[in-house]
Amino acid sequence: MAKQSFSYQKSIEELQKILEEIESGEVRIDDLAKKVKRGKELVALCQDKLRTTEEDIREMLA
Amino acid sequence: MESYSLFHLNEYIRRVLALNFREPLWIEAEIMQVNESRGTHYLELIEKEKNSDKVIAQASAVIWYRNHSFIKKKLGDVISDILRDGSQVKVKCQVDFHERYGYKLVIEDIDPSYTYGQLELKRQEVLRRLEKEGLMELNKGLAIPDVIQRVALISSQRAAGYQDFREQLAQNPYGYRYMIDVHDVAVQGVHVERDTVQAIEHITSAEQSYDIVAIVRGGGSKLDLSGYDSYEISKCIALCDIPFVIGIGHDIDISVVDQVSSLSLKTPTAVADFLVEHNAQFEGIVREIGKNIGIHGINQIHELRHSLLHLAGSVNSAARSTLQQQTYVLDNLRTSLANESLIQLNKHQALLEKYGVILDQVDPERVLQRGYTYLTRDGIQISDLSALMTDDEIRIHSTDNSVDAQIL
Repeated sequence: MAKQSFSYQKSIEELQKILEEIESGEVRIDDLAKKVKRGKELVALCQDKLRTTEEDIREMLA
Repeated sequence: MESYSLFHLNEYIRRVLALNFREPLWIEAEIMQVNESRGTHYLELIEKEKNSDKVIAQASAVIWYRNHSFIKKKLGDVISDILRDGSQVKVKCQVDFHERYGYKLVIEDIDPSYTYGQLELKRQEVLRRLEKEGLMELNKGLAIPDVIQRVALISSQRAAGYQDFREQLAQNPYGYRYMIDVHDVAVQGVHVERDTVQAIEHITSAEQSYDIVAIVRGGGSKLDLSGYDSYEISKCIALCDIPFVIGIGHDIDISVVDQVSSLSLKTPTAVADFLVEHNAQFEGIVREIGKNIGIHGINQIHELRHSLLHLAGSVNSAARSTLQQQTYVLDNLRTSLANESLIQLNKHQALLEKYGVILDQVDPERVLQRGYTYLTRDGIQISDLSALMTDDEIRIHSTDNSVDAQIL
């Protein structure tokens, strides 16, 4: 379910928003940990997406 | 003045003539008229003024049956050719005078070579005249149509050659049909010229147009043919705009009419054969053309089929080459697409890696792992230490645990 509704674009946007909040220094420590965790999750998901996409493309090229 | 009875006068004249014409003599004259009665021939001899029709002398003559038998024995059938109206003759005769029947010449012999010679002289003269007047080649210059269908026939329906001609034509092996208008004329004797000229004039002025005019008659003697040495007939033929084909039955001799006409053949049968063969030749040409059209058509079909096959091949190879080209373009596009996508992917990868690094840097866990701690008061992080007051209770957080403390 999660994979099907996954949107790379939305994930990146969310990630950028998290980074902006963190860089502004207005995040409280408790939230920070949560946000960093969420950010890392998003990075992993996006990387996973990129990897499967690349595989698809290379398959197409073969 | 003494007078005589008619008998005495005539008796006197007879004696004078008998005294002066003891021997028979040769005379030259033209036969104006000849009649035959029980083997005896009665002739009217004349002489005309030179180059004119004016009669300047005339005499009656007779060939007794006995004399005729003698001459016929010597000359054969030629005698009947010579003894014709219009013949130029040289005859051996006795001058005779009878008290009651008057003056007459009794013919004992005939010199046929004179008659022939006269005819030949006349013939040569006619030829010279036609030549001079430029009439010799006119009819020969006319083209005989490729197909002969309408024939004006000048002949005598009583002549043997006429039947031969009709039968030969009717029985042609190709089944050709001819439209034949017959102009019945005398084909021998003194009326040949008059009749033939009339017939030609009739044909020329007729509404019906003809492909050719044929003059045919059966065979005859050389003298018989002399009617066709006529200047008048030859002139008519020369001035007529229809080609003449002649078959007046001769083997060696050629008449003037033969010479001025478009085509001269020996016999009526030969003319009929010509009419048939002439048309057959044309039919042959038409058939040949037809055959060639067929062959040509087939060749063209072959050629077209060949070029069609060639064209089909070209279309095939052109299609194949276009297909190959498009495949190549598509391949290129596919490769470009993939490469471009990979580049984009790499960019995103790099971005994600950078985000990862940033996240690592700000991750409080990792900071604490390096031995750092942070303070909270009432669960709120304290970033400015000067805000702390004495007795304030705070909590000190490390990686794994936390301790409570009080500001002194």
